[in-house]
Amino acid sequence: MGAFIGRRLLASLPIVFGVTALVFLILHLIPGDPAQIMLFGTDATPDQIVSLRRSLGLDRPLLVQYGDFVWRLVHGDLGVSFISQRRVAEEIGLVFPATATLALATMVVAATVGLGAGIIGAMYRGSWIDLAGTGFSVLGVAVPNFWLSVLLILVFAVRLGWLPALSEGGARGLILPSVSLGWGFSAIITRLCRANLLEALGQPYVSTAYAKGLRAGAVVVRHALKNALIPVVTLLGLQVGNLLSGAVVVETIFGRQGLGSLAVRAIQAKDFPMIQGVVLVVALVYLLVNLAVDVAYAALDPRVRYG
Amino acid sequence: MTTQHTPRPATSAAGARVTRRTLLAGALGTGGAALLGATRTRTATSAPAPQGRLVFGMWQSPESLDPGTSGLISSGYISLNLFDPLIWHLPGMRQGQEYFPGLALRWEVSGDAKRYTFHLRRDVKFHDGTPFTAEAVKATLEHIVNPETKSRSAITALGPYSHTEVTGDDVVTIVFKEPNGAFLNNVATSGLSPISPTALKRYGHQGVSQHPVGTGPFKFQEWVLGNHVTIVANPDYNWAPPVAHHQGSPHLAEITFRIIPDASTRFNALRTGEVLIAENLAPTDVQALQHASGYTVFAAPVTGMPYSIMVNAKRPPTDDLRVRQALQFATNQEAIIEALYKGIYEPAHNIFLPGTLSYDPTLDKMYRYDAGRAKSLLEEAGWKIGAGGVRQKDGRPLRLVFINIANFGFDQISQLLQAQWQDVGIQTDISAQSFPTVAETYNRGDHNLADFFYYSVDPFLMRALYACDQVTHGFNWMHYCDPQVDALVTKGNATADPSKRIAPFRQAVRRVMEAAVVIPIYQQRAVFDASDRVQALRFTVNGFPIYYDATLRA
Amino acid sequence: MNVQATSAAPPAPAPPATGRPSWAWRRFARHRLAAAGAVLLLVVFALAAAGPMVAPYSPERVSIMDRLRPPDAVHWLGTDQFGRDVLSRVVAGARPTCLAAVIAIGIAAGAGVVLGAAAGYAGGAVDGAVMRAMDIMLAFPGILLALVVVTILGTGLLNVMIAVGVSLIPAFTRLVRGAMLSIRQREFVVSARAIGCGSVRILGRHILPNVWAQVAVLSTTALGWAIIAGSTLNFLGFGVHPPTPEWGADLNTGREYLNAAWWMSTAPGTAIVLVILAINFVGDGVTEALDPALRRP
Repeated sequence: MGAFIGRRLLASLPIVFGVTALVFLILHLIPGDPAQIMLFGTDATPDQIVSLRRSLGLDRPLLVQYGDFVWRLVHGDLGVSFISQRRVAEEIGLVFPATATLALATMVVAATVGLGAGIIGAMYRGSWIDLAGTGFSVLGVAVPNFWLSVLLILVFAVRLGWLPALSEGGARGLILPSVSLGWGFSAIITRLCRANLLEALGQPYVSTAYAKGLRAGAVVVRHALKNALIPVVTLLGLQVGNLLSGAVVVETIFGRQGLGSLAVRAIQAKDFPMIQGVVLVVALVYLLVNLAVDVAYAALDPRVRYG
Repeated sequence: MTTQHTPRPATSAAGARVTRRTLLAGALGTGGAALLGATRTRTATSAPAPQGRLVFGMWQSPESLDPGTSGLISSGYISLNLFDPLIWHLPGMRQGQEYFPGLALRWEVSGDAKRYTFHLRRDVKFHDGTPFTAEAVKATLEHIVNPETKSRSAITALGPYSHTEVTGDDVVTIVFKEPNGAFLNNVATSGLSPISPTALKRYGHQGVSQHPVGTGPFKFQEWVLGNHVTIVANPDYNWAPPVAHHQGSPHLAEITFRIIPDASTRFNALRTGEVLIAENLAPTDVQALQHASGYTVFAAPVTGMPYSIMVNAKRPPTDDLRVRQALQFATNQEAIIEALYKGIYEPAHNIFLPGTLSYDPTLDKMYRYDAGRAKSLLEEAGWKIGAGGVRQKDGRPLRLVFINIANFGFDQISQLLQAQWQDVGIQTDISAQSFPTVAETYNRGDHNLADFFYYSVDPFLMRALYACDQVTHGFNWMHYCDPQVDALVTKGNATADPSKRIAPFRQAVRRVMEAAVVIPIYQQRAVFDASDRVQALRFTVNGFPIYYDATLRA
Repeated sequence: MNVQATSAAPPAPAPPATGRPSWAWRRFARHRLAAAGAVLLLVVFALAAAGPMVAPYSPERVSIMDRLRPPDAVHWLGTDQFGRDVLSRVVAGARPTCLAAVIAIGIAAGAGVVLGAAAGYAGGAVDGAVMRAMDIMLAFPGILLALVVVTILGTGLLNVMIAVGVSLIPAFTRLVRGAMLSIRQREFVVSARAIGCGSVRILGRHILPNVWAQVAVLSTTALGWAIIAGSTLNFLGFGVHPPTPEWGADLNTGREYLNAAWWMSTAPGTAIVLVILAINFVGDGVTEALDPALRRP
């Protein structure tokens, strides 16, 4: 197992560098000059803009700039934000926990709703319960996030007064944003879980379990679900990028700090080091989560072996 | 030039900065009531212990809390409470007097407007215990001009700074290379407020932006990035301006500036009581609050430039004066107000707001909606009606590129203009770019039409907006250059005597308006929607809330 | 926005080309939700085709006097902040909305099929290169990719859809490659090769027809993602140029009037929700119809 993880980590390195190279290239395709934006409104003369560009190293050939970036990266230095003048790593570190918390809460919501609707749907296939469950979870993906968020606030914060409109530190403030985000993801889980359960329920070992006299619920939970979960977990791993996309919206509407809003602000301001930092961090999280998913296979499926 | 000149975008598509015409509570403007209140309450100088926590729903994150660095209004809202200006400019608070002592008790200006001398209070201490002296003033100004600081608003407000002369602990003279008649108005805004020299030394030119140490009624407590800034009452505060309602420490114990980028969430949080005061709400929501019980809509007048469309004088087809004039006549400000800000904002027909020194009401008549005149001007310029009602010349359609600042409150206005201009045969392509990227686009001149407004406390704002040397890297997004305007603006700034400054600025304004490079749309105000628990809120001349006297009713 | 909800789709193993389409069709039709969804989609596509011709009023005509009217006999779905008929905007908005989504899927599916087929069929170094590139794209947060593309190309419906389409490429590439790999080993391909068919011929005659079904299924689902993704970009301020009626843009504008004029957002919002529900039901129906694994009692 250790060797497997090590090999996977090593294999991830080219992807990490690929991502940094891609973001670097794209950033320099964006028309516009960060130095001019940084000095906007400062009464700086064109000469000062040129000298700032030089001091930021933006006048050097692209390859040299990238080399420099990678050199500093391997030394653990993500640079300094053009806008806030804070260290990129520090600023990302400050908001990362908020996004991670939101992501976890979202996954809990998505898994609860998705697995619930999926299991019930598979057990009562074709019945109105199946229809209602699937319909409910699909509704989550059909309603644009930004609209759903506002509707949730109107109902649960303004009308009913049960939950805060703003997402503050506590668990109460996490409920609406994570429901708003997780509901959409639940649809994918429901569908996958239901389909896989149906398939599993047709397998001989399930028939055997029935033959042994186990009740339907027990069969599903103890035998079929375990196998049906594997693709679900894989899928969740691939949702890391999507989570960030959703987080951009949800963070804006619920007034939460986080990576999503940080990234959008950085793109708008052409804050190169910050964009690079955020993309790198998200890519790393994506790779690590998917590695964790692969490792989780072993726990879920004894047939999988890592040599 | 101004404290806060960076765009103060309104989040709502509908332009958001809506207002009530009646001035409420202690809003500035007319003297009477505010004056009475001031004299009455000022006799009771003993202040009870600060109490209550006010939460302000702010649309934008501050990028710095150092008034010397920031260009954002959101930063100014906070730093105004942490720092005191040398003098206060509070017209309307007391009859016949506009300027009041702040950290300086008295001041003198030389005849050539090059030397400003301030006599400072001796009983003032910064939040870190450092005594306030002439050296602190000098250190602050040198901090602002230091390139490392990358000062935005403050360096413009400071003007042609030369050096500072310290004469003893309590006398300081600020010397300028050129006459700087605008300085008195500018020094009275928060941008040039003294920073603790100890903090400057300790945290450095960039570091102070996260560790603001001033002399103000509130002290900095915490800044949670992207979420909120909290400030708390300064118990030692005892140097409020004489027109304040009380002396001593502020009434509020704590203010939290909560960053909530979405307008509908700010409105909803105000309704749930999670915030007690909010800015930049959608106009329809403001209208709803005006009629709802339990809320107060504060509307403070501001000075400077109205919400306007800037017309690019270089890029065809708006390089033709007749086309620009046609746009002016084809624009129906009254209809826009009717549609979006009914009974709330006033339409604007001048490139200055009425409160601005040298505002000339006679110029308001220059362009009034007249579609017929617009059409004949276009005909005259060779643009004939073609296919689909769009005018053409040499086979090319009369098509304007209108680039909005995203989420700046112009989305709806631009669509109404699009419809109005279509009536006279002009086609408009509307798109949006976010700030600050859009500034670069504007500087490059990719647009025919841009939107903007500019808060300023002095008519010298014309320097930043219309000067020839501001075309490619400043705010001159009209790409308009008239050396005569430059000369008039310089002349207007050659003296600190308001009566002598008015004439040249008026002439300059007339020339700019004749060139038709700015289409004024409406006279904005600083609008704050609050729970009626928030009381005795007052505003600076540029519409910043002053929380010093404010209280929270239980 | 599910820009790269990628492998959401391909749980099922490659279905063999269903020999008897009529069976598949019957199975699909028996799926009541799918049938309802298909009908709704047909209506929407008809609206998209007929467009403004069937709208009761001009969707772009400004009439300040009539602004923010609640639904009544004249304006069935009310009017918006400029007095434009909401129903007309929803009807006229079908075309740009659908067209945009179809363009996005066209880009994603086109590039995905080419890349996936190349990787899956050629294998080896080509496969490695393509799949590493896809890994990189997947690790690159979709929304940032879309935002950056829009920043480079500028705003506007087409550019937004290019952005969305690009971010969906990996999903299609992986799907097609996976399907290719499994089909390549099938007997009929092996035998085709054995009797000396060329690569292109094998690809065109034997492999691709077997991949289409899955691409079609993913395309349906992705159509929904594209609509949602487009509306999210509108929310972030990168969208259509006014006054074009587009559901996502109108929904976002209407959201700001939620308290004053609930009907403004309800109409385009409901349109989006219904279309995406329909797409999902049709997708489910197609999957069940084509996939024998799910056809069990």
